[in-house]
Amino acid sequence: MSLLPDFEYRRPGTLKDAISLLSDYGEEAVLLAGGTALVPRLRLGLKRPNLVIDIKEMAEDLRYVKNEAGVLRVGCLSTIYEIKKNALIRDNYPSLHEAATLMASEDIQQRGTVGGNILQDTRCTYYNKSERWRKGFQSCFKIGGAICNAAKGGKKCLSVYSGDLAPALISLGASVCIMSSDGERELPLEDIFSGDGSAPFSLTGTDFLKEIILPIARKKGGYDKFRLRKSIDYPIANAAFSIDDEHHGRVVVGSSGPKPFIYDFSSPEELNKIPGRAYDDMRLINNMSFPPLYRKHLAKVLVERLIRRDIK
Amino acid sequence: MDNFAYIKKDIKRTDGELIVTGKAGYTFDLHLPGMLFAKILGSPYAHAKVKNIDVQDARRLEGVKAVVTGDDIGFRRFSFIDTPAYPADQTPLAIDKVRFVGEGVAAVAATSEEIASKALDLIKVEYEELPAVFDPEEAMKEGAPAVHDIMEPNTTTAWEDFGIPSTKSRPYKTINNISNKVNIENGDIQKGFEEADYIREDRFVIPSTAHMALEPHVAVADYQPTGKLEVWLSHMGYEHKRFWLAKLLDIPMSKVRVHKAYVGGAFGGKISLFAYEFIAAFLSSITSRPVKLTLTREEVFSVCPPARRMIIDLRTGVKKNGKITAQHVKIIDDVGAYRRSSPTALYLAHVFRNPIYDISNLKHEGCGVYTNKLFTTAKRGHGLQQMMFAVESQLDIICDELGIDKCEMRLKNFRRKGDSLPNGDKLRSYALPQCLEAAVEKIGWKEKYGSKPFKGLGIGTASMFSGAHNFPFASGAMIRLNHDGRVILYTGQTEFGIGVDTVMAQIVAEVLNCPIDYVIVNSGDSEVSPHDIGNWLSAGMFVSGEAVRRAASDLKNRMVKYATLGLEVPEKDLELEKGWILSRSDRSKRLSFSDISRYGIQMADGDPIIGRGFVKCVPEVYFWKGKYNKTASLSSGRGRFTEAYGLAAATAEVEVDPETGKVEVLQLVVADDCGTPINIKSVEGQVMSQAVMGLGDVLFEGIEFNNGVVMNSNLLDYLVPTAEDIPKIDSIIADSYEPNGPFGAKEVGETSRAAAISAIANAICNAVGERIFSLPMTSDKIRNAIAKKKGDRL
Repeated sequence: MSLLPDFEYRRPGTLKDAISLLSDYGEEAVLLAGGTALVPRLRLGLKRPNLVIDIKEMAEDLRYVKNEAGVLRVGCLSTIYEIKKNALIRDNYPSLHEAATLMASEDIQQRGTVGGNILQDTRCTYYNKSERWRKGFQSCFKIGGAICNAAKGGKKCLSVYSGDLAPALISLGASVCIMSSDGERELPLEDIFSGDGSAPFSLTGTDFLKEIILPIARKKGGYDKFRLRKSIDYPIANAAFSIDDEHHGRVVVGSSGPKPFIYDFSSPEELNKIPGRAYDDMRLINNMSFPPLYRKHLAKVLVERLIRRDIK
Repeated sequence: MDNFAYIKKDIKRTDGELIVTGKAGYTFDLHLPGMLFAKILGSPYAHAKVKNIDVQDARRLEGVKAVVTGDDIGFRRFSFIDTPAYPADQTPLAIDKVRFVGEGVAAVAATSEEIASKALDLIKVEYEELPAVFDPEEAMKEGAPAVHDIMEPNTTTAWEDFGIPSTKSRPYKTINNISNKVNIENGDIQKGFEEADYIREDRFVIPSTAHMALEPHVAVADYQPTGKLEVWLSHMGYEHKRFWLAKLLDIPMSKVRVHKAYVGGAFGGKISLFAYEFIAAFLSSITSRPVKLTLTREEVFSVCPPARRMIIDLRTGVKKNGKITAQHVKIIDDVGAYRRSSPTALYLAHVFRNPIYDISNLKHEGCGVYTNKLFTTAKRGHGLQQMMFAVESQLDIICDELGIDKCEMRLKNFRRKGDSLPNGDKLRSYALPQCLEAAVEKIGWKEKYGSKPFKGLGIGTASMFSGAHNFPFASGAMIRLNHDGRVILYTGQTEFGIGVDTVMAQIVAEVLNCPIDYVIVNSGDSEVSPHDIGNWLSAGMFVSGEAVRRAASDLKNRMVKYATLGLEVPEKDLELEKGWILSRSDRSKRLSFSDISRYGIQMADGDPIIGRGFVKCVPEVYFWKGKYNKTASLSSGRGRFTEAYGLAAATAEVEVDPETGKVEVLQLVVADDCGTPINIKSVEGQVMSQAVMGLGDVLFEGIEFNNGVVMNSNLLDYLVPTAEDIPKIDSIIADSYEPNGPFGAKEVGETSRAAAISAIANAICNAVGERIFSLPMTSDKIRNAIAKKKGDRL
């Protein structure tokens, strides 16, 4: 067994306390929700925080799916399982429903939270390894070094954002509410992605993703992911597709680099060009266990199939 | 019609409750008072000189009780195969240089795992990196980096210790990184090819795959002040382990006690001595405390040998009607840094195909090649899956080219029951044709074949020996009658998931005609067992099971003899029934088993009544003081090898998604000839588990190396089938009877996997209409094959 590093552990009861701790510890603190993403990273020595802030104590306040004043608000500590089981989401936001269904496996869904799933770190086959394994390679950009182990001569980190929920939420036009010591702000979900694999989120030390906001609407569409096995695995390719009754909507392609690729469309002609555009746009490197060309091909196939399924 | 009480019945596992309640004692869970925790520091380089190791800071860390390096342990050689021709080439820790990434250079024992881990970080090693070679064909070229130079045995070799006749020890100089060779010839290969109407030549490439046992490799060693070593291991047979531990520690073999421990799966990955096991024992001997060494999952992937990497060039000649006239096999076994069992595997690859197809003109040659990678071992068949993948794939190619029915082709070339193989082994039981026909029928071959594009069917076959004349050569068993009429069976068999205790109890209860809970099984303890072949020569049932049956029979005879005296009734009038011995003509005349025990103690000079049984793997073969008879030669293939072969055939139906290359296995049928299935549920469980393992081997699994580093060294990157990936699997047990096996039983547990692999691989190629010559057949490879066939670019 890999061992956990030493750290301090606190369980704040309120959001105010959590933000206060973040303010005191800054980069040296991490937030622990379900732990399905964080604990493996701690064991692998990818993160050595001084303080682990366990926010499960705040679940009562942050676990909800509520329809109020023309928007749907989803608390960050709602589990993936709750999202999957929610009838309103299933009927109105099919891409989100399908993303929750396909995420990992049901036991992990029962533990993982929406906030944690969105804020998962990017992945790379040279990065998500134990400290001992990584000793055989040089320090890469993501670790804090000056090279890329996956792409010789690479100038920046292209580790892959592999989350299931974010592409679906972005396709639905989701925003997020961020709390910090400076107060509260709302921004489109896609804006929290920096595009730099070594620091994938443009959020600062005291930022706390409190809730996800979806405009009330009835959308068609869906989400699909390609993985070799039928359970557990991160996507090798994934895509989300949401469309309204006026043929307006969004396709979001994940597993394409540090941030998802977004394609808005307002006509069937525009929509049908998207698979080809996505294929051309994706610049992938050999940082997953499948070749880049194949992953591009899969992304194109997934988008084509999502479109075909919903547009008769 | 059989009228068995226990044989061929679904008897619940006698240790089932222990296992499911978590009470079964696995070495992984063992904790001894005062126990220390050990860890090994591995090399980050694939090939490097070890210039200097500074352990001062590690030694000074509070809680650290010992730090050792290769120099402290010295040149103690060990290996899987250690003969004068092929002397052992491995040491527990590297001495002059490291030869693969992860090879141990130092080891620490400390009061906790955390401290041991921290101590490793404090050890400073100075390496001088050397050029490394990773590709075996590159390694064989002139001027390639030499992984080994001269191996000089400084002790007798294991073969000599076992008494196996061979030439004297000599230094072994490796040339062009060749570690060992094999050359087996039968008939006249040139004539055979001249007779052929059609000749096909193909190359097949099979990577390493991991065993993925639930329990990682782990050892607990407790060196006693009396000079005796107590060990608990995660293993497959105690004789080999205690031989090597004793030899390396230079203590008598009988002073090594390998305790009974449940083993959480092995599948061939835990056979011969591992460096970590010796290191635990060595650390215990110098600290005078018990030492536990548990490998992490990542270490198991990176430093414990996976299945063999083979490149197989296969050239086969056939007549127009499909009869094989000649076959020429050339194998490159990419051995990795240490030879281990390559001589065995190269030989066995031939042995496995031999009983299946009758090929009178045959040449089977090959060599092991050193590379700077992790060494390899058996996985449910030592070279079996690799060889059969090549043979069965090519048979399908030939059938496609010549328009021959794939089932007919196999049936036409199968051997027959009663045949003798060129080396003298006899096929007394042989239900392979029935297995194939049953598997073909069950899957609906005739109706489904070629019916839909991107849907395909495939066939696979496999065979496995049932014990061979390799150390320790034989098994013994003892059964003791107790005062309460119950019996205790002493057998050295290892329990690693196969249900050993249960089937042995079934055999005893059947012979003694007593309730099965009268049989207590004491298994896997080296100090208590009379002698045992172990569980990695595929001899558990055929050899040890038969020894148990004979012991039960011997005990029964002794009990009956005392019953005749005690009841004053002739022997032929007596029968055993439900724990009693009674007179057929007057059923009131009866003695319980416990009465018999009392008779022995009171009236027969205190005789506690112990039954003995023993079986030699191959009775004909012997060597004794310069005389020897029909011993098997690993390099030439001559000599008697085994007394029985287990066999299996499988069929698979798959559907392939043409756009993504993803495979859906719709159905898998596995038909096994294991002679008599002693415990039907147990056999079916074995067959199922093999089928699932085979599925993984074809669709998902392959160890990926990058400059000698294992890239997929965790369970997210190395994919084994999940419960959701398991298709419909039908298990058929053939109606067969092996005359020399206990109640007609022979080997089961390895053939189904290899047969399933070939069947699924063939089905995929049939679905796609294009041949893929390597494993695993991941979706990207399949998609490329489809695109190639269509003339697309990806």
